[in-house]
Amino acid sequence: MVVGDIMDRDLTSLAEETSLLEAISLMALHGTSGFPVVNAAGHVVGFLSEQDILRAVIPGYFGYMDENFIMPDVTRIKGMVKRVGRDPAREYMTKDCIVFEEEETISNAMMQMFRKNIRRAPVVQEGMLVGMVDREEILRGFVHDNFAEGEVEIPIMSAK
Amino acid sequence: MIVTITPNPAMDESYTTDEFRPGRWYRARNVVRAPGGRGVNVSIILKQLGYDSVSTGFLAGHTGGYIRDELLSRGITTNFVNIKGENRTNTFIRDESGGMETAVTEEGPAVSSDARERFFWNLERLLPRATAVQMGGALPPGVPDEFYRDVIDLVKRKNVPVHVDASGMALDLAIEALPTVVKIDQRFVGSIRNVTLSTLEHIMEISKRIFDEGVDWIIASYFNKSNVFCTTKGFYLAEVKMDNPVTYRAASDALIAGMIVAREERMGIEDTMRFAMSCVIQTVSCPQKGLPSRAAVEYTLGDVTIQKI
Repeated sequence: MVVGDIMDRDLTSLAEETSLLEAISLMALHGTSGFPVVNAAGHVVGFLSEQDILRAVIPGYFGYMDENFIMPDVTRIKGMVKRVGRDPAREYMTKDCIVFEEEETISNAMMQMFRKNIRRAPVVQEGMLVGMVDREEILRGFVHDNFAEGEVEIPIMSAK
Repeated sequence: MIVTITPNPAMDESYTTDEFRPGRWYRARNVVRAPGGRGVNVSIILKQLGYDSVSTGFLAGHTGGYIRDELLSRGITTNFVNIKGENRTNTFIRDESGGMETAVTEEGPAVSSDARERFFWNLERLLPRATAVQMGGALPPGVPDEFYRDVIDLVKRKNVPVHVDASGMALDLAIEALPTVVKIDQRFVGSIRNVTLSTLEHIMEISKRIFDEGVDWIIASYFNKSNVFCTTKGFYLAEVKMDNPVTYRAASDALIAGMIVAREERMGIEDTMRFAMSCVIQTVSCPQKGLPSRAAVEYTLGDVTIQKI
């Protein structure tokens, strides 16, 4: 099984000039944690995740958030949201984001996503966005590929 | 890549009852649920004919999630704008004894100007890889009558053929922008530019006028089993043999899907009409959404009669 067999064939994406506030609104409406950023020709030029936005609004001490002696300063965060909310996605997106081709094997995609600790990745064809793949679908595909028929039953959402 | 546009998608719920009369309670013998709306139907039928498309428009709420998941499970690419509210559910009751179908449709969710702007942004990014665009159906609240006209203006600037199947003022305005193909469904369009579509002569008169303005194909339904085609080679009346039609609901969408496939495969005028009409035969006879297969369409090509008028 390859990425094209299990990917979500949805092309929802952001422009480089989409504001962070609009990106937050779209994430809520689509119930997702990040979107690919595409240029006018539909080529993927980056990826903006909720983590990139959090980094933008909590810049100084984001890296220490898991240490329990750091208390988040809500007033400061609100100020940062106001300040950077209208900034374009291009300033905070991950520019060299991982992308997969439809022909990429599930196991290779799984390794790369876990190694880089990413949840969703764009799937491209000649650089153009053709879908999205996430870790849950990758895991389903992996189980589908590596268990004998009838051993476990995993429904596959996508059909090529 | 073919782009289909459904401004007001729906979940179609079809109930089959032994009989149906207003004011009584009935238990459905069979229930079929499927995603619906003109463009969504065309995407489904294109897939059944072996063609990929991107289904676009506006999705809202749980029904929107259902529509998207169903399209995804059929391997259809989506690029909808998600909005607040709830997509409509269209209810159809098929009375087996009388062979009649009753429909109740909803209005659909309100679409904001921001959502419309986002739709056009999405569409602009799809057009560089589009080979055809199809759109149609009722417009939801908040989408102005100029919507189809504006889409046609944008699509034509990129030299992509565009098919429209609408009604009312939205259709009149769309025609002004000169799409490639106009489908007039007589069930929903009583008149165009004050010409009542009551006779074959009237249909031909208005079709000729639209053709002279620069639309390549005008197709008007004419009773249940026929369509009048106005083409570069003149007028044709195409009729089909149908023994046991189940529903005429997606007939118009099947015809448009057939027209798109014919164009992609560079069929001649007569073959195009024959193929599109055979798609209609298969769709109205199929209890599930769409048609059984491309092979089935090819099997009934001979059941289409084409007559120059």
